Amino acid sequence: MGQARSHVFAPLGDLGRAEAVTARLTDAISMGLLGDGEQLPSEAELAGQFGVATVTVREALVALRQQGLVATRRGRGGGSFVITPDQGAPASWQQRLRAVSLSELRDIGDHYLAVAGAAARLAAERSSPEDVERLWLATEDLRNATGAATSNQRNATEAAMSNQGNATGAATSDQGSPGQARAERQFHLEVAAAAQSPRLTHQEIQLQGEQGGLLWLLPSHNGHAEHGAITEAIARQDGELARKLTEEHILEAVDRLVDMHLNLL
Amino acid sequence: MGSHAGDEVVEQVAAIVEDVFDRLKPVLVAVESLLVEVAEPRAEDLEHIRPRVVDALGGLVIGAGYVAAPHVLTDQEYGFEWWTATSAEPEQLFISLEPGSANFLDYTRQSWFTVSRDTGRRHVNGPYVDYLCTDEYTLTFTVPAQRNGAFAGVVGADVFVREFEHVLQPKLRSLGSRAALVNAQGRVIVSNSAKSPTGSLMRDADVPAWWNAGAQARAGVRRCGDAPIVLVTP
Repeated sequence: MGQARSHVFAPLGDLGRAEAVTARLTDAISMGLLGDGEQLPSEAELAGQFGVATVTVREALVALRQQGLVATRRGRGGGSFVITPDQGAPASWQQRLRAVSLSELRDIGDHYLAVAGAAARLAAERSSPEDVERLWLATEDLRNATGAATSNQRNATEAAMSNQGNATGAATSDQGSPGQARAERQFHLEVAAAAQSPRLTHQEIQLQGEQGGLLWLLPSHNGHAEHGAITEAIARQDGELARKLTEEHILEAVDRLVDMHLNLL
Repeated sequence: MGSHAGDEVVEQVAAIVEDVFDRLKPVLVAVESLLVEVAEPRAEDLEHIRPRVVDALGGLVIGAGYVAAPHVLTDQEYGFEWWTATSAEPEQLFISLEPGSANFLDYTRQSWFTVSRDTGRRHVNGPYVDYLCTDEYTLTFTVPAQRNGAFAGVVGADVFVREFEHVLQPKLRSLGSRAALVNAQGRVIVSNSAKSPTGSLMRDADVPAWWNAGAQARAGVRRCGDAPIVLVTP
């Protein structure tokens, strides 16, 4: 009774947060972004990253333990460790991509287009040489990450697509490495920051996490060149070109997801 | 516009900047003493500077702490002790510090880190979107910390641009004609006109070239104290 009563008066912001944290970590584990045996950050660190209370993280970890996705060891060298479920990571992200509807994908894509496109236009107007320098660094991150996708991931993807049709986008798509997805996210985050807009930056981060981070699951093979062209347009203060290139870059990412979704049906 | 009114804005900015840096002095002393006293500092040793960090919060300062240069700590490459005062109680900042993690963001690329590292001097960074910490539009004041004469990271304080604006807008408004406080890149921190919105670059004033040429007072452009903050009255 005492506990139930205190729950009634729990801060409103914390309601549903444990579920949200659980869902986020479940997605990351099922997509293979968090590998088997990988140690999770400490409860306090997770709380900081998610912006929730430590008790909320603790609650989420309890749920993950019950689902068998996390094991906790006490003592020296202890902590919470990821247990990848038996069906393997690739099947899980495919299940997720199969489950999402085309109308949802379209809508997320449209929203992302509006946010990232506007950010690119404003970044071209407002970037100082220092901002442009940071955008070039972020552009290079993708070159360094490309090719880091392991052959395992490629094989898994190819196997899953053995019944592929003539959808050309999907036929040339590989699941990217976590490094590629991170480089994609970081680049667009830097563009939003260069736009000098906290709100667009915040939306950028939120959209990147939609559907468990589905958006940059299938990065472009030309991602480095595309980021380079966007950075070049921003450096030349050509806002319309920066916006157009960003929109194309995102439309193609969404098209790859749509093609892959159809192939998985 | 009377030059007296301009003087007041310049003096007020200089005083605010000095106040923020004054708040950081005990933090810098604590960090540098710690790095002398503990030969092989670990992340947990940073707890010793915590009381001084929390003391630095208040006034316009909504975030403060020490950010270590890579490999200053012996048990991890990156590390910091940073606290924010955005809630009722001070809260410690936690972000991913594991370079292999999907959420890792390399703070050694941030200008608030690189400028103090490369110049060896105190710096006011921004305005910029602080996506590592509060996601707010921010000014970050930094001072380099040293160990054995070598750069060991920065001690810093965050001020929200909207609070800075709140304090300075009355005097800017009272100038009666268009005026803006911009950084050394010509980026608007606060202005009294819709024509120069916060965050935009006042390209016409060509502040970066003037700044790099030594920032000598000239008509329409004045430096505020020794901070990289400039009053532009076009």
